[in-house]
Amino acid sequence: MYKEVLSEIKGISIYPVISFIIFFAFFTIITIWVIKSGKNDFEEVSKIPLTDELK
Amino acid sequence: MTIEKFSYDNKIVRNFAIATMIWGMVAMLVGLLAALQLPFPGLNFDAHTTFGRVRPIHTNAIIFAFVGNGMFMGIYYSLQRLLKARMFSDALSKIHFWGWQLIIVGAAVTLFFGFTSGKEYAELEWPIDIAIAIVWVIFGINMFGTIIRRRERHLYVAIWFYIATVVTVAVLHIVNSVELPVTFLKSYPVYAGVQDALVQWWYGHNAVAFFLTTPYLGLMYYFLPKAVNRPVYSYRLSIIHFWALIFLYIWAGPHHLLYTALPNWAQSLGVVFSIMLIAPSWGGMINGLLTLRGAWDRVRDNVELKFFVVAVTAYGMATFEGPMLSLKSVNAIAHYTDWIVAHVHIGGMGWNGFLTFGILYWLIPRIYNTPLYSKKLAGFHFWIGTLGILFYTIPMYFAGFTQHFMLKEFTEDGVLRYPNFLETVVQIVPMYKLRALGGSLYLIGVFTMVYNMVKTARSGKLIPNENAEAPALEKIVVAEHAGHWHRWIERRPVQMLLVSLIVILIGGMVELIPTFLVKSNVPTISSVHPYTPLELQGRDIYVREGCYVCHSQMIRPFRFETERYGEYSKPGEFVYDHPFQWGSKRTGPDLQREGGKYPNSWHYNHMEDPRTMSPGSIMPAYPHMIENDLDTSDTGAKIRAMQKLGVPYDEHFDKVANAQLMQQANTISDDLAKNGIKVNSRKEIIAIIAYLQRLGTDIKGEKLTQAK
Repeated sequence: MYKEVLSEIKGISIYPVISFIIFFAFFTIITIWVIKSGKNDFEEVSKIPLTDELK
Repeated sequence: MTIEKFSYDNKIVRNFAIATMIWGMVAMLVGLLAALQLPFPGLNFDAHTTFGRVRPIHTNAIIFAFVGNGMFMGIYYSLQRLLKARMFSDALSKIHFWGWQLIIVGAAVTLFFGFTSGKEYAELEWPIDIAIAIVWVIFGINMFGTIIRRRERHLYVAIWFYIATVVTVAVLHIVNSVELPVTFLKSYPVYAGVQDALVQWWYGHNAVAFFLTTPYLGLMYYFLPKAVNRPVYSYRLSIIHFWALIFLYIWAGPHHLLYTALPNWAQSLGVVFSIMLIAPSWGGMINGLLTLRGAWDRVRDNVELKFFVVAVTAYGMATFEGPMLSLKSVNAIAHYTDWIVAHVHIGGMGWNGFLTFGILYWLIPRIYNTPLYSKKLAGFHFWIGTLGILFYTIPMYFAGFTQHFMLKEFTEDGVLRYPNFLETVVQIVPMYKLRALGGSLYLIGVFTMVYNMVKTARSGKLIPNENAEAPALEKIVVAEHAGHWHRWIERRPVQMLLVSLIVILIGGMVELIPTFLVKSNVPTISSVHPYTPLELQGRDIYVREGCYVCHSQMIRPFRFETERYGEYSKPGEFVYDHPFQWGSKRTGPDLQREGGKYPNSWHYNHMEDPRTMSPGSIMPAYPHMIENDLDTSDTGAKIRAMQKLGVPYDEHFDKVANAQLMQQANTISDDLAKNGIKVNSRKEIIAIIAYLQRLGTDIKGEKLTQAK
């Protein structure tokens, strides 16, 4: 009678698995890209906050 | 290349700064009142100032008034400068500012008078919800308009955090506030029970993420480098920080519902993603602190840096604690206790508070073109504020542990050592006093700061429009280099918005869709029936008075809970609960199985003055429930609303609902009369007793039928 709510949805366990795969793939791609691109690629961008005053 | 002349709007920044300071003082004063009400229940002056109403005013004011205005102040300042452009529209800026302040006033007044939807951090009723959505969209338009008119091609990392904030808060607010209006200031959420809980904590958790965290991280990425005058330690780390953070946060909501009637798979999903969250959070913290590498000497004589360092450290502590708290075994201790209160105040006072103060100390002298009035007072603020945080949080940690272990203790004979919840409360009352002391210290610091700021502003003159110049942005003719796909996003705000939106929607959908399908899948318990009209009215009083602030209706499957409160909670028991009232903190005992535990007369006396029935109780008294007549004019409308939401009342039941209501009310008043209590059956107290006596009794009926 008092079964856990969603136990009757078929294949519900696939949801956590899908979510983990999506995240893991996304995270891996971002990390690889960031590592591959050199530090110098971002030097200019990272200085934007410091160049906004004309003084 | 043509150089364009333009000016930054400092006036709007100043306005938001003033609002931040004023609402900050108000919100913290209200918080102090709430803190004092626990050890001194006499401070619950009247119906409007009971803890159940004061506490939501405090939380809403801190989040949406203090941190909200602080966020807008920092964004309006940094966005213009990062994009080398004035805000898109001064008119929109003004509408945003005044609209937001009106919402705050509306929120304070409605909460004070007991108009609440009963969902934590989303308590405001539907007209205000709509106003919030409109003002938020105006803010979004203003921000994107500025981005489109920018003179800087790249969008600095802070702006990504702002974009994610705008998009996600809009989604969260709209999804969680889908409600059916009953009257002008009363509505029912369309979700019920387990569903409502899941949507609510998906919202609640991500409100922390996208209202209190991401905008402030954006501010950190701007103001910290500004204050030390060097770029952020690792820009590459900030990219990973951003994507990982917004991707992970959105999944972690169910960790607020561990060991509840929420399905297990959702609980596990929440735990896994919460643990992973530690990586980006600490990446951000380390990035912030390492920005100071080689510049630590400046922290000694630079007050805003002191505030930033403590803020970032507090962020690191809170985001380490968060994942730990989502481990089920740790959560079993912390959930419902003052540990959580300590945790959120590390975040609120340390991270949001101190970052806001640091920004104010940095920004006010600049827009007024004058040095800070007193460095000494600022230093005093820093130390008393830090002391305040310690005095606030340490007693709360202590109280949380003490109470949990008392509640859990069994004697050798296998019965609870402290069967009366009140014994554990009395034990921690001294901690509540210390906490109020900590809050007072923190507040003294804030007053000092406001004085310092007023003096600073008086000694200078506001530069309402700060002149600036920058080359116009030229159209790129050359195609982008291959391999720089992320740059493709960085330079294009609309893509950024869309990608952020997709990222958070995936997380939201995976979490929510299965529970939207839940209706057909909750094993309905045949003996669970809709509330009677009187119980429904009583339930609305329960919501109005904010009983859920201190009482849960969710018994976890632990022996020490089932021994104390009764059978653990089942998902099927909540199918007619619009809104759910599981609660998140037990300052008083759980009420899920309250029905039938005590006679009606006990409840009557207890409501009139809790201390006559439970000496030492810290609950507010509710004599006004005995004086006030129950408003039955809306009973029919409420029944019809419930029918629309799928509650199976008979057709045309709304026509006879009030007759049935009076019948049940008379039974209760007759019973009270037998016990020597004369009370008119039309009073509110009758309705609340009816509701309390109903709580959790349905499945007892089930057992009875089975036994027969």
